[in-house]
Amino acid sequence: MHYRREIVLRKLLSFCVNVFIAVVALAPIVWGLSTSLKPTQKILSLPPEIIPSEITFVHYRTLIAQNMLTYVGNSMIVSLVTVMLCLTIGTVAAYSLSRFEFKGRSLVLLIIIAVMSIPIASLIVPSYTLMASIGLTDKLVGLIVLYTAYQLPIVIWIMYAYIGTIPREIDNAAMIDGYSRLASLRKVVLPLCGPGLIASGLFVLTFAWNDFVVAAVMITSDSVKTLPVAIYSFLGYFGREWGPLLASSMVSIIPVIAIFILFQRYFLSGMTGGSVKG
Amino acid sequence: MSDVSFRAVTKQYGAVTALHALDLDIKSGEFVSLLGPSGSGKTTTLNLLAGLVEADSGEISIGNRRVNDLPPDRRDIAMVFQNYALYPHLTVFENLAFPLKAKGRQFTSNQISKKVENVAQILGIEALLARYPKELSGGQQQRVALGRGMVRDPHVFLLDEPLSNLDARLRIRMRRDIKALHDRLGSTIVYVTHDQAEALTMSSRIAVFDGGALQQFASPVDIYNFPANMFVANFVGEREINFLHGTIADERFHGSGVTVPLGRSVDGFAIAADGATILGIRTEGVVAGVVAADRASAIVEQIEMIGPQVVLYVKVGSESISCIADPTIHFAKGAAVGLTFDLDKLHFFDPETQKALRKPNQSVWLS
Repeated sequence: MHYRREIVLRKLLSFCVNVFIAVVALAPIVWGLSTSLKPTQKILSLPPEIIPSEITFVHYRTLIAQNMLTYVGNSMIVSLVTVMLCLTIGTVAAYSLSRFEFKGRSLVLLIIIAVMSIPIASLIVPSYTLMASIGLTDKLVGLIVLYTAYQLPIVIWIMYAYIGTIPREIDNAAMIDGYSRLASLRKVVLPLCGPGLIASGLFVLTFAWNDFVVAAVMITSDSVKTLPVAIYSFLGYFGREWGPLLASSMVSIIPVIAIFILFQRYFLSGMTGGSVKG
Repeated sequence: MSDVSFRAVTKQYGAVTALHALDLDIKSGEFVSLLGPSGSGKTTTLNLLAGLVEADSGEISIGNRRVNDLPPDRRDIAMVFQNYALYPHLTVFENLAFPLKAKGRQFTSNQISKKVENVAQILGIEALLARYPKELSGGQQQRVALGRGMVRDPHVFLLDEPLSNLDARLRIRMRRDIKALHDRLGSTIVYVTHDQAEALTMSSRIAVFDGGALQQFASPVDIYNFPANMFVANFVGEREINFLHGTIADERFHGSGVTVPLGRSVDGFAIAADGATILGIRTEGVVAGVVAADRASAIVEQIEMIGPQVVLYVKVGSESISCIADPTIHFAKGAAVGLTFDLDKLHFFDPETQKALRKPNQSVWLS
């Protein structure tokens, strides 16, 4: 049975390749996690330990003493409010772009794509000037407004593609069954948009949670710092103290990973659901 | 009393006229089919009535109430879509209850359960109430879609090609079921279809559409026996009607290679002065038979067994004609046969206008 051995070999090969990719991708995270749990004197000891022989949460305690909970709280507020705003505005916009024929519809769609391709770095200076003139610099609200503005196009685009896959007859049926357009959006279209909402929500969430550049420019006061900005300032504060630095990195990475693992099934179907018709 | 009426309703999509100056009156309790090929305006008519599309001009009313400016949810209609449009995230029960839970309809949850169970029982889908639409067969989904319309006792029931996604056998059974349902409910039904057999079997009247214009609005019997023009004559009927171009002179029709003695049956028809006419006759109006070789006028080209009869496609001169024959006789391709025309089944059309020619005492059948 020659082909059987070939099948086994092929499977083995693809297994090895996958393991290699996983190791390369996960190594820094595993190393960071294990270091953040080691006592300071063991961090640079040779040979390095992957699984620490002695586990300590001292670095995390240091972080808490450094106001870390405030920064985490700030990041959570900014991320969650941004996600909710983006999904609400984006879905309504996508629904109307998908369901109504109006003059300039394709122009609007074109502009949305064009806006998506502008790098955010090039928008920072004008954004700052604008925010300063309306007094929203150094405020969480200012960050929320900017993040929403930056992420809305991608949300609209994903939701537009996703709503396009839902047959129009379904919302027509709801309207004939006695529901207004808004009610039919809420009762019928929205429940069917789950994967699209999750996919675009994750996009926005990772952006808002991870953003450093915009927040670094807009925020100066300690009380409104978000997590990435705070971590950056630790670099100066802790110098080469790997323990607290890596502990703070873990605090910033792990929630995102957890959310992705939790939602990955929906995320995938949201991406492909959009890509078929997009 | 007219229940649904269209007055000079026109709808354009860009440069395309989807519907031109439609006048149509549907009586209360009638089962009216809108029949036509795709792009004929039948679906536009239905969508206008449902409020999914806005009319450019003209007036639409339901139950003597002008509805042009009313949104679909306030028109007191129910609609069954071609793809059923069931709500995939709701169970069958929730799908059926959905119209009852709309704002402004005050039903207690007890009343809702009762109504849903009642409809489910009529349609024989009680056992499916807990399932989701994707767990149902096509025929079952179809019933749920019908039930969702029935549950509210709407003023007008709109059906948009509801049977076209079912297999042939089931489609014929559902025709009877829908007709029985109509007899039972007594509500006005407007039924869009491109299938002439569905229209003929179920309707009390048929409105035939072509090119955005109403061609004829009459009972199935009249549509079949007295088509208003060549389009209606050809579109209604199992197979294409035979059209023969020729002239009428001396009580005979002279076509290319075929002469039909008409006798007195042609008396009174408004034939043009030069006698130019198009003769139309359905397959069942021509009978092929074995005759003596010198009287044979046609050559058998194709033989189709259709059950109770045999249909032959024969060549007469340059014309190709479909006709019926006795199934007990064996016909071979290339055989010479004689044709008999049933004079009661002849239709005459004006070659200029394509309209049917009538005897003066026949009323005009165009709506």
